[in-house]
Amino acid sequence: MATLGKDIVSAIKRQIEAFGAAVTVANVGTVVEVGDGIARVHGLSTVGYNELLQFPQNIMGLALNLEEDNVGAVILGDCSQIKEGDEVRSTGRAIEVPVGDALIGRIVDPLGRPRDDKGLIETERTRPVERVAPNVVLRKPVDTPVHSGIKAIDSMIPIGRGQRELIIGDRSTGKSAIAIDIIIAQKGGDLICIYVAIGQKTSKVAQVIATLEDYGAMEHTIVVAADASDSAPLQYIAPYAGCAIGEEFMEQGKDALVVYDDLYKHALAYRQLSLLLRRPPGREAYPGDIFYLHSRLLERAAKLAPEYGGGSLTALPIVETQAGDISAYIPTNVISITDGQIYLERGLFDTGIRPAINVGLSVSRVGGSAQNKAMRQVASKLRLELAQFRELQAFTQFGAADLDKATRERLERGRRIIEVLKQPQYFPMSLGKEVMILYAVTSGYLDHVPVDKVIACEENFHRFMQTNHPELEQRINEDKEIKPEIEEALKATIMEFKQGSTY
Amino acid sequence: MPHVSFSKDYAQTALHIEVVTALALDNGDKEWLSSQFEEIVGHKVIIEAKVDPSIIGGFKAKIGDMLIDASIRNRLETLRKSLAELGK
Repeated sequence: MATLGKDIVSAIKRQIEAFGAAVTVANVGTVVEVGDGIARVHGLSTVGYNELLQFPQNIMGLALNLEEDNVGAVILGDCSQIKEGDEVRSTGRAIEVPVGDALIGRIVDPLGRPRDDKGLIETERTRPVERVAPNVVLRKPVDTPVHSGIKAIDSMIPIGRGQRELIIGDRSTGKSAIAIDIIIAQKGGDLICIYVAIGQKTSKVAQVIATLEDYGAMEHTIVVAADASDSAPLQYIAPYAGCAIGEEFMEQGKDALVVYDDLYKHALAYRQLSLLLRRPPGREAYPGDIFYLHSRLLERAAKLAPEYGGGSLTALPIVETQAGDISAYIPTNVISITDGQIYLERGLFDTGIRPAINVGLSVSRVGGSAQNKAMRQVASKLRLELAQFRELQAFTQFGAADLDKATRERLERGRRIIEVLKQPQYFPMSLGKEVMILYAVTSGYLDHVPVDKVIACEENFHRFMQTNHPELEQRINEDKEIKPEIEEALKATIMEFKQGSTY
Repeated sequence: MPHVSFSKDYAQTALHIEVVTALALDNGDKEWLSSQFEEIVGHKVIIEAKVDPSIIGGFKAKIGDMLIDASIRNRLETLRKSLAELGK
């Protein structure tokens, strides 16, 4: 402490000695118009695009429109304190956010200022919020899975590290719930999670944070929050700030995952800015660069080649649809940018299939190559059984009276698979557990269990495995494949379980 | 130089420079200042003197949208910022 005090004294002395030397030359302008978070500034002839501007009272702005005789700027702060005629200085800097390990467990705003009560964020490093995505040379195909802990996702829509997987669906169909479950599932793992809340209700953000804290998931998570009450400029930069925070970990060779919740609200915030800046409106009044807005963000998700550290940044953007319309403007844009989507459906949600994933419309274009061998061993059969089941189900809707035995069995198995894929919220599973139950159901070991008892049976199964043969789950977790001897042991154990169970 | 306004007040084009000081300038000061500026910019200049006690001392000169800030207030502000950085 004493040395620290001395350091500060000498540093202050140095500063005071240098005092008087500074004459600053700055490019300045005057505010001609201010309102709605936007200012028009006369002057500022040498200011650059996206340059930070210094308004009076320490309020910062961002130069977004460089026009012939004025500059259109958005104000990152309280615009009611800015008056016409105020002096604006250019800073020569772009927006930056603090980055590094010190942010883990913290809640920050899009400028990296703390929003929790844990004091200052002690980090030296900052990164520009906007950056060009890593190029082809730096990248490598996705090859490691993100273990989501959700059976339906890990088996049928696998997500790889460095992938961009969209979560899409109507309001309250469990989009955020999936993202939060995935964050919770990373507990004790090596994936650093960043949850970016854009234009959400503050109450919902508080609820998400409380959930993450309850499940001990804040220890590996950073929350970047721009609530509905924050100004549109802050909401606009929030995902880029979250991305920059994640990129720092990626470049250190670590793995990071960033959830953008949600990009529909982000598009609305950007539309507001653009209209107020008088940029020409296009389809649905969105500006012309609305596609680039999201593509440049999602392109920054990457898996780096080993010679560049081998880190990764996985992006899970969330988009809300209106009345299930995935062919609306923003959803189609984001679908075309991402490497696949998880489509959640209201109808499924209401019939009790939760997570309400529509397996037919959901895809993962690159995740398959990142899937573990163990999961691939059970998933291929699962996918086939489910596809056959859906076909038969549609066919037999008009009367199932005289079906042959094989068809009936296939239908029965399909129903049980659907039941097994149901999973309660905040209940992520280890790879071993997922593989074992999926193995049991696809191999027909649950065919004799009544459909409405399958969930209870699964619970018993996991409990039985945990108490009697915990080594099986462990082996699958470690080997990441079902070796022949494990398969034999698994078969024997399932038979043992069947004899002991009442179904 | 960008955003510079010229006027034909003099026989040749002159450059308007707004000079803000804490205390009022007398004619001698103004002449001295304009000769100094003329030397730098290589142009006839017109000094528009303004008084603003809040800058404490020194001067601020505005040529078009370029601001040369040599005021005591600005230096104090820079010092305050750098000291605040130390405290972080």
